[in-house]
Amino acid sequence: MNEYTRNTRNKHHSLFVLGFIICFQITVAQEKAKYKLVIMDYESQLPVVGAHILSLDSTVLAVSDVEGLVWLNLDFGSHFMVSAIGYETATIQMENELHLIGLIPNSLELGEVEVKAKRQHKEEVLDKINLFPVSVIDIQRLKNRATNLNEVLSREAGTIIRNTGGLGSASTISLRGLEGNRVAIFLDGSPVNYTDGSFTLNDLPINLVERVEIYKGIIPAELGAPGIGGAVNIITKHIDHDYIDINYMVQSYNTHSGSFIYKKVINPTFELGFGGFLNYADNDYTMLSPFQPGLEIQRTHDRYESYGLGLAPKFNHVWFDEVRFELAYYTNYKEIQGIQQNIRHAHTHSQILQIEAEIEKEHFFSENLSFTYRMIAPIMWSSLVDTSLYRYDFSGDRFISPTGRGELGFYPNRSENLQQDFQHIVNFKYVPAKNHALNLNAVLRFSKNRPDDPLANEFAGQNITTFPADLGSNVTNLSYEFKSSHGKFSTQAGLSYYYFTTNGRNSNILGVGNVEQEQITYSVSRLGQNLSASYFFTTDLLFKAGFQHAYRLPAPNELYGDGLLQIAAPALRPEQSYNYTLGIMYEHRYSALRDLKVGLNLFHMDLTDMIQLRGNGVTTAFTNVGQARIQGIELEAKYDITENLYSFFNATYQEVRDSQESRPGTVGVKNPTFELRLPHIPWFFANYGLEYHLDNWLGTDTQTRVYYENQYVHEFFYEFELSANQDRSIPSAWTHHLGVEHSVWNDKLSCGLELRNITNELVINNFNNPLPGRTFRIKLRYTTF
Amino acid sequence: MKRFKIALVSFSLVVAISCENSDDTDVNVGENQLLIHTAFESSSFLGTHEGLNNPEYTNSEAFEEVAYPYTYHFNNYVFVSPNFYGDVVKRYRLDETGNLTTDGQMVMEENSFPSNIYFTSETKAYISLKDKAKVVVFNPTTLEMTGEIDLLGTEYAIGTDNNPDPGAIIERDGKLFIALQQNNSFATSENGAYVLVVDESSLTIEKMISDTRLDWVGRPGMQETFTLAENGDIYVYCLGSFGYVQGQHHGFLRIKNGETEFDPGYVFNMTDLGIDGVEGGVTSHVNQAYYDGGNTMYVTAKAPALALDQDFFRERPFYSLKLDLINKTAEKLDIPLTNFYSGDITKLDEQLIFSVSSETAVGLYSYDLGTGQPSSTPGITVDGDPIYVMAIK
Repeated sequence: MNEYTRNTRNKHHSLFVLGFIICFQITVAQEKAKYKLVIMDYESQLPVVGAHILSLDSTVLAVSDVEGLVWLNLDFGSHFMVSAIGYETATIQMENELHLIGLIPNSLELGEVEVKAKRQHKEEVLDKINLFPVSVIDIQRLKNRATNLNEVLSREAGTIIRNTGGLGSASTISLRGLEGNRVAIFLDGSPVNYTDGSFTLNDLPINLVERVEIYKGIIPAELGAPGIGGAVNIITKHIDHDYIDINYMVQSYNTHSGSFIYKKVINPTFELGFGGFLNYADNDYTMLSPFQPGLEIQRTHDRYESYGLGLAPKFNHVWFDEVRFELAYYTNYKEIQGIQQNIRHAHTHSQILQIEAEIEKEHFFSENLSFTYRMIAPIMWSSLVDTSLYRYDFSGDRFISPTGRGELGFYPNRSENLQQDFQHIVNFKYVPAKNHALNLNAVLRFSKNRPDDPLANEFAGQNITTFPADLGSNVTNLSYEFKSSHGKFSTQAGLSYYYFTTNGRNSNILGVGNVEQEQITYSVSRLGQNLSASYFFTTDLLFKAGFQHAYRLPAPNELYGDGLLQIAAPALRPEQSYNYTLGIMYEHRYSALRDLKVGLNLFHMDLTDMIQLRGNGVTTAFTNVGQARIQGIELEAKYDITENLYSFFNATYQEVRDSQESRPGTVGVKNPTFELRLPHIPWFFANYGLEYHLDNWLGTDTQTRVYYENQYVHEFFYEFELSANQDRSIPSAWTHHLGVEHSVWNDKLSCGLELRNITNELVINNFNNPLPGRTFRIKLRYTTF
Repeated sequence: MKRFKIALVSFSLVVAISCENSDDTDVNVGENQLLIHTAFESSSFLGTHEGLNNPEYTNSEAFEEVAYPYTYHFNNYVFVSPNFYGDVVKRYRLDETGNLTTDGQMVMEENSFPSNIYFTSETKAYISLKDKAKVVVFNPTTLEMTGEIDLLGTEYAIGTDNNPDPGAIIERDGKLFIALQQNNSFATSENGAYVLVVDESSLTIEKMISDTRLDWVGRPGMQETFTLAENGDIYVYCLGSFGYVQGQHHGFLRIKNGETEFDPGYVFNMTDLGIDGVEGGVTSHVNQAYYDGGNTMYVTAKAPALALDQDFFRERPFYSLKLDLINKTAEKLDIPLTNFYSGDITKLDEQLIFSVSSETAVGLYSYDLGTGQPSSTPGITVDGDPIYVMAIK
C-alpha cells in the first residue's frame, strides 16, 4: 500500500508493501483542527492506555483512553511527542487527520524502526505485524476514485474477480487459484458467502468501506469460518466523530451508484450512524454471441437495481467499552440476461433484513482479558419469477413457450424462498504476559432454509421445490501467540475445530411421483491446525512463513440437490487442504518521499476431497472427486520514480494442477489429467500502474492525480489441456485504464473520471460470458471529514 | 445411438437408408478403424484410432467438442450435434487414412437443442431440434437446410407444455417415424409412447400413434431408438424416464412391416424383466445399443440397485446385455460393469467392441461373436471415458 501525506510546507511520504498499491494523497487543513490519534503497541496492536501526548516543551496535551484514542487540537504541521511507560518516546509531526501510532517497546532496538513507528498507519501495522499472509487495501485512499470493490480487489496480486456480466452479475473471487465456497467472504468479520448469493460484494460502494483484508492461504482464527483458499474481510467504515460523506457515480450502460453516510456523536457515550446506497444499471452493452457465429447481441434484459439502508446506534463506556447495534435493510431486483436465448421477462428479486449487535470490553473481569461478542440475525427473502407464456429469439420474434410457461426451464417459477440465519461470534483474548497471548474464538451458526414455489409444484404436478433444510455449525479456534522480547520474532500456533450438522430432505428425482422424500441428517467434525511465524532480519527485511491444515464443510446446496436435475449427495466429505506460504518483504526508503518496496510470496497447497459438480448429460450431483496441488509465486513492487510519480507492478504465476495419479474410483487406472492444469482457472496475470500527482496545481488546497493502469490475464482453457486441436479457451486480455481525480477544499469536494478498457478489448473471464467493453465513469463526492 | 450404426447391419431391405450407410459402404478409410469420443467435465474429444493393433488411445490429436454431444457417422463424414450445450452442428471429414479434419458447420436456431440426426441419402438428412419442437431437413453434403416440420403448439404435444420434443427418426416405405419424447422435465416424460408418422416426400404429418404399455420413445441422441430388422419390422426403444418415474417402463415396442401403428401383440417390458446376474434383477434404462441382426441386440443397461446417481465416477451400474427381441430375453455378458460416461457398442471385424470405464480399466473390450467370449482386459486403453465408439472401417 502506499500513501502520500503532504502540505505545501512539509511533505512526507510513505509506501508500504503488502497491501495493494494505489497512490492517494491527502491534503490536510493548515489551520488549527481536531486530529485523532490512535496509540497502539507496535508488536501486539493492542491500544496503549495512558500514553501522554506532549508538546515539544513537554507540556502534557492529552492522555490516551482505554482504546488508545486521543483527540488533539493542533496546528497542522506542528510537532508533538508520544510517551508511555515501557515504550520509546516518539516524535510526530501532525500531517494526517488520523494518525495510527505504533509505539515500540523499550526493548526493541531497531534503529530506523523508530522512525517508522512515528508514522505507522493501520495498514502497515496489519501488514507487518499480522503473522498471516495478508494484503490490506486501504479503501480510504481510493475514496475519490471512480471505481468499485471488485475492480479494487482485482488489482491485487493473487486475486482475480470473475464476473459473468456488468453490475449485479454473478461474480466470484478467485484467490490463489481457488474460488467459490473455498474462499470465505466476511463483512466486518461475519461470514457472508453462506447466504443464497442475493448480496454481492459489488453492491457495497467503496465509500462505505474502510479497508479490505485479503488473507491468502491461511485464515486467521478470529475469523472463525471454514474456507481453504483464504479469506476476504471487508471492514466497513466506523469513524468516531461527526461527519457526512456523500457520493454519486455515473457510468456507461446507464449505470448509477451512490452512497451516503451521516455520523453524529450525540455525547461521549452515544453515537448514531445512518447510511445507505443505491445501484442501478441497464448493462445494455453489446456482445458477440458465443453460440450463434456472427450474431451481435445487445443486452436488453440485464437491468439491475439494489438499495441498502443502515442505522447504527453505538454506546461507549457503558461498562462494556462499546455496545453497537445495527439494523440494515437491503433489496435488489435483477433481470436475467440470456446468452444462448433471448430472455425477456424472467427476473429475480430479494430482500434482506439484518439485525446485528456487538459488545466489546477490554479488561473483561481481568486486566489481561478482552472480550468481544457479536450476534448477527439476517432474514432473507428471495424469488425467481419466470411466468412468461412466450419465448423470444434475438431477432425479436415471439413464439409460445415450448414448455407451456416460463423462459428458463421446464416449469414456470414464482418462488418464495426464506432463509433465516442466526450467528454468534465470541472472542476472548488473554494476555498473561507481555510477550504471550491466547485467543479463543467461536462461531456458532444456525440456519433455516425454506424454499417454496407453489407455481412450479403445481405445474409439475408434484413437489419439486419445497425441500426445507436446517443447518448448524460451529468453528472454534484456540491460538497461542508469542513475540520475542526484542520484537524481531513472532509466532502463532492454533487449533481449529469444525462441526457441521444439517437436516433436510433428499430432493432426488428418483422420488418422482410424490413419493415421500427421504430425510437426511448429516453431521461431521474435523480438527485443523495452523502455525505461523515472522522474523525481521533487519528493519527493512521481513520474513514470514505459515502453515494451515484447513477444512471446508459442504454447503447445503451441495448436499441436498435442487429437486430436479441436481441429485442430493448426502455422503459428501469436507474438502481439506494443507497450505504452506513463505514471504519476504523488503522496503528501502530513499528519501522522505521516495520508497522502494518489494514483496515476494511463495505458496503451496495440497487439496483433497475437492467437491465438484459433475453431470452425466442428464442429471448432476456434487461429488468428492478432485485432488489438486497449487504452487505459485507472487511478486509485488512499488516504487516512487520521483516525488510525484509513483508506479506499481505485481504478477502472479500459479500452477493449479491435478495431483491425482489414478482416476477417482479406480484401482490404479491412469488418470489422463494427472499433472495437467485444472481447467477454467487463470494461471498468469499481472497488473501495472503509473500515477502522477500534483498539489495546488489548479488553486490552493487542490489536489490532482492522473493515473494509468493495466491488467494482463493470459489465455486459459475451459477444459484440461489434452489436445493440440483444443479451441475452447478464454482468450488473453490486456486491458488499459486511464483516470483523473481532482479535489478542492482540502479534499472535501472531489471529482473522479475514469476510462476503463480504453482499447475496447474483448474481456471474458468466465467461458461464454463476454463482459462490457470500453466504459466511462464520473464520480462526485462531498465529505466533511 | 447417434451414429449410423444401424447401417452396419447388412440386411438390405427396401429401406430408404442408402447403402452408403451400411457396413459394406465403400468408405475410403485406411489406417484408422475406430472413431472414439471421450468425455471430460466440460468438453469432449473426438478422434480416430487404428483399432486393436494399437493398444493405447490418447486425445492428443482429438478435436474438442461440447461436454455431452451426440455423434453420428455417415459415409466419410462425422457429424456432432451439440445437445443443449450449443446451436452449431459441426461436420468433420474422414480422409483416406481415417484422420479427421473439420469440414463445415450448420448454425441451428437459438437454443434449439440439436439432437438426433438421421441420414437417408447423400443429399437428405433430418435433424431434431428438441427445444424448438422442429425437425429440420438438410443436405449433409452441402449443409444446406431445405425444409422443416414445425411441431410447436400442435396437438401432438401431450401434457401441459407446447412441445412434443422430437427425437430419433427413421424412414421406411416413404414414411418418417419421429419419436415424440413428450418430456415434462429434462429427465422425465409424460406417460406413454408417442411416434409421429410423416409423409417423407411432402413432410405432411399423417398421424401420431401412441401406446400406454411403455413410456418415452427414445434415448436422447440414440439412433437405435428405431431399429429396422431384416423383415422390415421397426423395434422402438422406450426409455421409461430413466427409471425415475414410478409406474413407467422401459423396453421395446414394435411397428410391423407395412404398418403405421404399434403392434398390439408385441411389447418387451425390460423394467419388469428379471435378468440373472444383474444386481437387484432389474434394469431401469438402456444407455447404448447395437443391433447385430437376427433380432439380437446388444445393450448396456443400468441396474438401479447399483446406483444412487450421486457419484458418476465411482458408481458403475451399467451391465452389458444380449437381448433377444423376439423371445424377449436378456443375458448378462461377462463385460465389466461400467459408469455413466461409457457403455457404447460397435462392431469391428466380427467382434463387438464395448467401451468400458470400470474400476480396474478404462478402454475398449472386445467380444468375440463366434465364441461368445469377451476379452479379459481392454484391447485398447483410452484416456478419458469413451462415451462413443464407432467403427469407421
